[in-house]
Amino acid sequence: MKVAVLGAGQVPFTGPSPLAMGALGASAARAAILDAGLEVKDMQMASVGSVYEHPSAGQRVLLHLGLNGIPLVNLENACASGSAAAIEAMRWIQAGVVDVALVVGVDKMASHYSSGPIALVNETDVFGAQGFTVPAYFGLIAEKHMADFGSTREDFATIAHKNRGYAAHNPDARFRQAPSLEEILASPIIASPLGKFDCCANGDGAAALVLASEAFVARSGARQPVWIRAAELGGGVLGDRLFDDPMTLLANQAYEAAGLGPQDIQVVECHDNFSVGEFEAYERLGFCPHGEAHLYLRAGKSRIGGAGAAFNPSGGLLGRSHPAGATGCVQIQSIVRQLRGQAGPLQHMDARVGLVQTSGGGVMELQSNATTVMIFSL
Amino acid sequence: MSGNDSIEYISEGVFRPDTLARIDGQVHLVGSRCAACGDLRFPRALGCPVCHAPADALKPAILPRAGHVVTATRVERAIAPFKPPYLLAYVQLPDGPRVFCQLVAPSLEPRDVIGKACHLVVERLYEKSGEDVLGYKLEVLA
Repeated sequence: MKVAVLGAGQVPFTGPSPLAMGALGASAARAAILDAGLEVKDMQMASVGSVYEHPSAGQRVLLHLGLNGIPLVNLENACASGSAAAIEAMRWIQAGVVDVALVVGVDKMASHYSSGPIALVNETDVFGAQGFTVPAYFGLIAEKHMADFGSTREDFATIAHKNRGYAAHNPDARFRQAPSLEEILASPIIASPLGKFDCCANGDGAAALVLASEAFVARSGARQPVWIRAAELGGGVLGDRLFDDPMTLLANQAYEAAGLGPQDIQVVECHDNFSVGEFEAYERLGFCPHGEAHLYLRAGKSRIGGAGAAFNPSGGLLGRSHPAGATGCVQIQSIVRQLRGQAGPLQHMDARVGLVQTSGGGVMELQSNATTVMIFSL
Repeated sequence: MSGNDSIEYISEGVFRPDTLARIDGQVHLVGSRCAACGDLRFPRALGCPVCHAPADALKPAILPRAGHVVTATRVERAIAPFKPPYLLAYVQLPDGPRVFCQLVAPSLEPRDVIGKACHLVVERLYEKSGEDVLGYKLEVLA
């Protein structure tokens, strides 16, 4: 059964917010419901993704929304929680349980954590005992690519520069001031070769979607439904990410399900929690051969208006900041706006098919804890 | 390398007592090998994550003392109780697992150590309640 995104909305991503988590989520939900041309009472179930919130985050969102009694799923899948919540809602619709579902992603990470690496493991763990940090893990991926294929720190900085530049035009991004490439390169190293601007910041924020069945879309006469052409969710795969990641497997599954390939995709929102996260996605999503991400980047192919697919035109995690639960939903929102031609100065010309990839991590014995790849078209 | 059940583990002051052993006067990492599928893993598994054999199929495995650096990064922002800078790496052991570890190579940059040979040492990892906590690191050979 075909499922469409009828509406998408968000609250601006910020630093520490005085608003309650539930209020943030409800505001994003209202924006999505308004965008869908529907009312709160039309929502038949809710799927809510969050990572760092207290239990029953979804109940608090629905409380602020004035919506009670409908089936509600709270979902945590690390940084892929928002996109996993969307896939969960899609499955409810495909199963014929409901016709319309509300998806909300929310987190207040800037409120919960000051700047600096977040501890995912403690020192009783073999990774934690060695002084593991998340930036270090991505530094290892970047250093290996540099050693194996001749990429440079400037390549990673170029991605940070590109995405922060896009965020300057995104009114809902946390970071609206675009640093120069020189400032990015001069910023302190966090874990080599990654500097401060190569690392996304924690954020407070929420984003939401309204999904609907094909029958509901036909009945409602919805304008510009954006169809989910493929939605793949994978759990953690044993191994380390230096050599492989479920991203490739899931992308291939998604391409097969959609009957499309990377050559058919014009816009991508991928998980640039670190600049090298986008860099590796060029290869792992099949947009360029293994070992050639720096060549794809240097040719300008990942830019808006470039000859490849525009990557992270909303500014990505680097520009928006990262309220973990909200990230997957806001990535989907960006693609919806691109496909509808509503992205304003960030519009990539002729965007007809878009892809969203989100990675969740934390158990370091696994390549990723959760990965999603979704494909959308009008 | 083959494993046996009468291993002299080094446990005093070590962060996790099943990771290091002394064999013929030399320190080794101890992992596990699955008797059913042969999967060799570090740290030791509690059940085989590859063929799903139960815990009693997993035997301690003494791992090689030396390997080479697959990749490394210099950590400049750390989480307490660790103090930067330090090098983190993945080290490939011959016919064995890749080990995530700190490197002993204080003056070297990642680009200088990737591909280099290294061997196991026991060193202070961090301090807890005023006591040194020991564990494995890999020392890069000149």
